[in-house]
Amino acid sequence: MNVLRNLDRRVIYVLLFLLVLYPLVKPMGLPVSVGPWTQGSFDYINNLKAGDLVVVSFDYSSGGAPDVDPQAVVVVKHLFKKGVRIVGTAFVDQGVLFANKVFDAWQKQGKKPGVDFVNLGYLAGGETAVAAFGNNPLKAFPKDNNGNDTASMPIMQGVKTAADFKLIAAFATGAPGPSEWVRQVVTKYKTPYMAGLVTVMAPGAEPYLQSKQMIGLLAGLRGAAEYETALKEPGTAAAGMDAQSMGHVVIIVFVILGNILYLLDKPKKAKA
Amino acid sequence: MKRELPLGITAVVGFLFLVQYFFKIAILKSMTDELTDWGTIVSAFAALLAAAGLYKIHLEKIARRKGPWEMSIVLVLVMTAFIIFGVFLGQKSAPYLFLSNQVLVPLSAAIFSLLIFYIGSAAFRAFRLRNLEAGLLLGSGFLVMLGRAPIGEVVWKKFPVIADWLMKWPNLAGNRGVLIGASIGSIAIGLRILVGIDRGHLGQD
Repeated sequence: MNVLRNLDRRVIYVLLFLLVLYPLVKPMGLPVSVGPWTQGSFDYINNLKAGDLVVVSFDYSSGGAPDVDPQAVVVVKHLFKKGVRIVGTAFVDQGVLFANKVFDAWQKQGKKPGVDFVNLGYLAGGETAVAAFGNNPLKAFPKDNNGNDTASMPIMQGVKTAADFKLIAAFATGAPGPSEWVRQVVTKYKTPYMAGLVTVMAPGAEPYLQSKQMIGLLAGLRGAAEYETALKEPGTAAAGMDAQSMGHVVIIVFVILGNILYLLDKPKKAKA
Repeated sequence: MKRELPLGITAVVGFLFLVQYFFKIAILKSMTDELTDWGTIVSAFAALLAAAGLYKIHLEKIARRKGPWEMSIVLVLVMTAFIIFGVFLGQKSAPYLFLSNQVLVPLSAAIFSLLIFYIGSAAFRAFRLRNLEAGLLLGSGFLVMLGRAPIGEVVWKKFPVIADWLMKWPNLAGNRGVLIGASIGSIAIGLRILVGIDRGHLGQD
C-alpha cells in the first residue's frame, strides 16, 4: 500500500500512455451503439433529397479538431452521398483550414465547386458574422474562398436568407456555438440546426435539443463514431473509440485506488 | 462629450436592434442589416489590430531580453511566415499547408491531448469520496464515463441507458437553470448598458 501512497505521478503518465497506445496499435473492435442525439442528426440528413441545400460550418480550431473534425468529415460524406449541395462557411479563423481539406478531397472525387458545393471561407466577427450570414448570405460572403463571385454561382441561386437552407450543421469547439446559432439564426429563420461539439460542450447544449431548437447533436469523437456506425462506414472515429475506452477505464481504476487509500487512511488521520 | 456621444450611440443602436428583432419594420431592418455588416468589418480590423499588438509586445520583449524572450522570437518568426505564405503565396500553397497541417494542427492536438495525463493524475490524487455531494459527483461521473465508452456497454448493457438518463434529466435540469440564469443576467446587463448605467465598455466602472 505504501508503494501506492507514494506513487510518482510519472508512473501514472507512463501507464496511461501505454494503455491508450495499445488499442491504437492493436484494435480491440469494441462495439459502438448509436445514441439518440446522433440518431436524430442521422435520420434528418438521411431524409434530405438530392439537390437540397445545406450549410456546413467549420467553426473549430486545431486544438479540438481531433474531437470535431471526424464529425464534419462523416457528415459531409453522408450529405454528398445523398446528392445534397453544401455551402461551407467558417466563423473561426482556423476553421477554413479544415474546410479546405474536406472540400479539396471531394473535388478530387468529382464534386464541382460552385455547383455541388461552395467553400465560402472565413468571416470575422463571431456572433455578428453569424447574424450577417443569416440576414443575407450573399452579402456576407460576396466572394468565395478562392475569390470567385458567389452571386453568379449556380449553387447560390435563390438564396436570400438562412431560411433558404434545409439544414445548418455547425461544428464548433467554442464560440460561435449552439447559443450563437440558436440566437441569431434558428429563432429568426426557423432553419433546422444540428451541432457537432467537443465532448465537454455537449451537456451545455442539451437544453436546445429538448426545446427542439436543435434536431441533433454529435458529442466528441464518440458522436463521430456513432455517426460512422449509423452510416455503416467505420472510419477514423470508430478506430479511436478503443483508445478512448482504455483512457476511461484507467481513470476509473485510478479513482477507485485513490479512494481505497483515502478510506484506509481516514481513521488514522481522524485519530491524529 | 467624450462620454455622452458613445453612450448616445450605444443607446440608439441598441434600441434599433431591439425593436427590429420584435417588429417587422422595413427601414429598421435595412439599418440593422447595414450595422451588422459594419460589425464584421470592424471585427476584421480588430484582428489586424490584435496582430499588430502581438508584434509590438513580443518585439519589445526581444529587444529588452525580458521573460522567456527566446519564445517570443519563435512566435514572431512563425507569425511572419504564416502571414507571408498566406498573403503572398495563398492558403493552398505548399509552405502554408505544411505550416498548417504538419505543424499547427498536430501541435495543437498534442497540447489538447496532454489533458488526459493531468486528468489521470488528478483522478488518483484529488477525486475523493469526502461527503455526500462528492459521492454523488463520483457516482454520476463513473456511470457517465462507463456509459459513454464502448467498453461500458460490453461490461453491462444498461450503462448507456443509465448515462443517457443522467444526461437527459439531472444534467438537463441543471444546465437549463444555468442557461436561464445567464440569460436573465444578460438581459439585465444589456438594459444597464443601453440606458447608460453600466459604462464598462467605455473603459470606466
